[in-house]
Amino acid sequence: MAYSGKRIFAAVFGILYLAFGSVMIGSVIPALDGLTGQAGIPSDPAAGFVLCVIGAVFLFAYRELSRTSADGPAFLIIGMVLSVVFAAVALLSLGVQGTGILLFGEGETWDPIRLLVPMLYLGIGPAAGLFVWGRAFLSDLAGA
Amino acid sequence: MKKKIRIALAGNPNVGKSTIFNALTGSRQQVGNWPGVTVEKKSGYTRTGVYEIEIIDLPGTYSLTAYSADEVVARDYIIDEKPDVVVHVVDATNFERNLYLTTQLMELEVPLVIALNMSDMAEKNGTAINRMMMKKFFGIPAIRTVGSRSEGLEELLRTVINESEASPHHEQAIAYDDATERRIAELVAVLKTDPALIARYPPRWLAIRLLEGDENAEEKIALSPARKAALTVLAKIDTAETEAAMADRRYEVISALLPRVCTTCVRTMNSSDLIDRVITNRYLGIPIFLALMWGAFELTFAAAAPFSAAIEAAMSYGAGLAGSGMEPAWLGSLLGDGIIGGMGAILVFIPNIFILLFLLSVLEDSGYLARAAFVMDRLMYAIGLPGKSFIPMLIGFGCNVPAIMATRTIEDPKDRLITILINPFMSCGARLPVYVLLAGAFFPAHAGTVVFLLYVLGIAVAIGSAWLFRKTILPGKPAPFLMEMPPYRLPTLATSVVHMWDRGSMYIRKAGGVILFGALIVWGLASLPFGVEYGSAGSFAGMIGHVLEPLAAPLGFDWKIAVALLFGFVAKEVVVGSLGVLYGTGEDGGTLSSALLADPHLGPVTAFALMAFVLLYLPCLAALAVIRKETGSWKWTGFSVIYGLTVAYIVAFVITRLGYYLLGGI
Repeated sequence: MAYSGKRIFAAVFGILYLAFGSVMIGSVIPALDGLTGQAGIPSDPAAGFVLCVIGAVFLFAYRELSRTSADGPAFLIIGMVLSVVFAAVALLSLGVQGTGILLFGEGETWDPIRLLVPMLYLGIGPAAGLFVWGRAFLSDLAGA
Repeated sequence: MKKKIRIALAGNPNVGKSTIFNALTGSRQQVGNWPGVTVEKKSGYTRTGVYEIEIIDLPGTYSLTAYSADEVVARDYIIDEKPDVVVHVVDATNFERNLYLTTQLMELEVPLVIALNMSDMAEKNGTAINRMMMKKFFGIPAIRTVGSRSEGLEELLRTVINESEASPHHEQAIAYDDATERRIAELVAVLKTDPALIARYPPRWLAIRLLEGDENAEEKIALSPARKAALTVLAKIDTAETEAAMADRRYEVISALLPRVCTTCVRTMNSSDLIDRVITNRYLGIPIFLALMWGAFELTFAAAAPFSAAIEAAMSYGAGLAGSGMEPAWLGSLLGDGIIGGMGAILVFIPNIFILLFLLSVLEDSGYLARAAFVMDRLMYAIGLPGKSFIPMLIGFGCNVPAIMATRTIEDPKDRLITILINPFMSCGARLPVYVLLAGAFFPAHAGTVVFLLYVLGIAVAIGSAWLFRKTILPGKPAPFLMEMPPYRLPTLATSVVHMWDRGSMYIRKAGGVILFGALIVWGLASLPFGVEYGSAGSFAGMIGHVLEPLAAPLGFDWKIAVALLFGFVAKEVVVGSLGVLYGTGEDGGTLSSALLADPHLGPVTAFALMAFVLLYLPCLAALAVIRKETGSWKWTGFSVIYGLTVAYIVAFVITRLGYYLLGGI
């Protein structure tokens, strides 16, 4: 179960990250910009590129897990670590931005809904996956 | 009757070869350079019984692939001078890694003895190497030695004498796959048509080297009548692929034999190895590197914003207070416009510098940055630079001065010169205040991405310039990159903070030194001659700016920016300090950002062009001094200045023209 579960997990998140990332990159095209706005996906090509990278790592994980290669779990764990790291980056940067607006915004308002960006909410699943599958792997690291 | 034996000590660097050499030769050693090479070898003598033994200490090498001068010297000595015995000094604490060289020495078909040096430490670590099994499987006698205590050296000499008299060879030490063996046989047959050639070089070894695309080996057959036929055989294969396949095979043989000679040396793949399979993946390595760098800049920008806003508010308040309420007025102006305006403009960005340096320290302490250098090696090699060059480039993200000094680790003079010349394009921390100021003002929603793009632009220009230099003024081939990866570690907060402080505190010192000095000069120029309106076109600063303006105008820069860029030559932060003085943080309590936004000459396109210009235009004064020192040449120092200015001008011009065209405005 665990092995096929990991494969499905890697495939689902690979596709999700790649899809969201591609849409965010595609938002530079004016015709798509409106669509991303309506769907609540920010127009941010650089962040989109990061999502695509994470998606690619998950898809590599899927391929390696399908081959039952020893590298498969490594790709999966790194994909999940990257997801969590960038979710933290999004949370911190948007959270601090919000705090800045609240403290120095001179009347500008800030809505916590701004925190809901794909980089953050897509990271929730991998964070859970990392908790379940990643602890033994990461505790093996030198110095850990 | 006295008998003479000549032995060569070969081995990886830092395995204790010189210790054994000194222990064996004592005071009779002599040090000298061999003619025609720059790499030092040492020779000395020792006596045992009727034998007078000459000992040659060869340069330390990880392999004999002839990619570096050390390897060529070591290999050519063994091939050309034909020592009676080669003693391969092996670090017993790192047994497996050393065996690759063993396989290559075996292919040289010379009598070989292995000195298992540092055996005491290996035994302490629980490593048990079975010397009987070594003899059985490798066919090479292995002696336990501890060079620092002269242990095992007598046995080593006895074995050397025995081997020199027995003269065993190690032909066909490694059996390659069928296709490779057929090619080897084909080449050997061709090479054997030249008796002079095979009298000098072992034919199988030469065939293997040729199959691996070894240019030094190709030179060896350059004058041989067998050359044409050999090249015909080589034309049928991809030598790079063959080289990789043959290296893989050697490692396979090592992996297969290792458990039989040293059960405790067999290492299972751990998490660190598995992470490397992902992080250094040929397709994902560079995208992951770029993604992590973007994350670092995004976080830097966001996390520093409240701190910077607080400092900026305090500075604006201080400048306004000094400017409005102090008598005499010039003193208020000096304090408000000159000191607080100039220095304060820099202090605002200290949080950004510290946070970025902290994040880079975390990446470095985790062991990731070493992998980044490895990942970039393929790209670096393609443009004609060794991967080793990327390490000074990474150091350049902090400061170009230590980065240029770090090029001393690059042996090849041309590789080193190119690395020095491209280093100023790596965006040092001093440029960050300029980016943070302008990107924050003109690209508030995407400031982190804009700063990230500037860093990428710096790397791209550096790499492009290296390629250009390699193709034109500094032709040649780079040496391959070999580095030992540190293990991954979870970085500790304390270590990363200490590293951040070590690197970042100099910016605070600079704010009170050269930047304050620069700000005062600019203030003086903006205030004089007496009676002129501060920072107006009639001031000295205005006059200088108007002289420079025709040059700056095609880039969309006005005279104030021209003056700021001129003083930025001293240190890049002075650009911001000068802008702070010339635009004023405002007696009305406004900020420099708002003053810049109010300037009709400046818009997103011009601001981006200005940031690109600051990134590329000149090394700072300190960097120039180090370039002069490290190149030992005013010519190359001058070249660095002119080339940087030219590239910056072209890039900024292209950005403005393209930006105006695409966006229809500044």
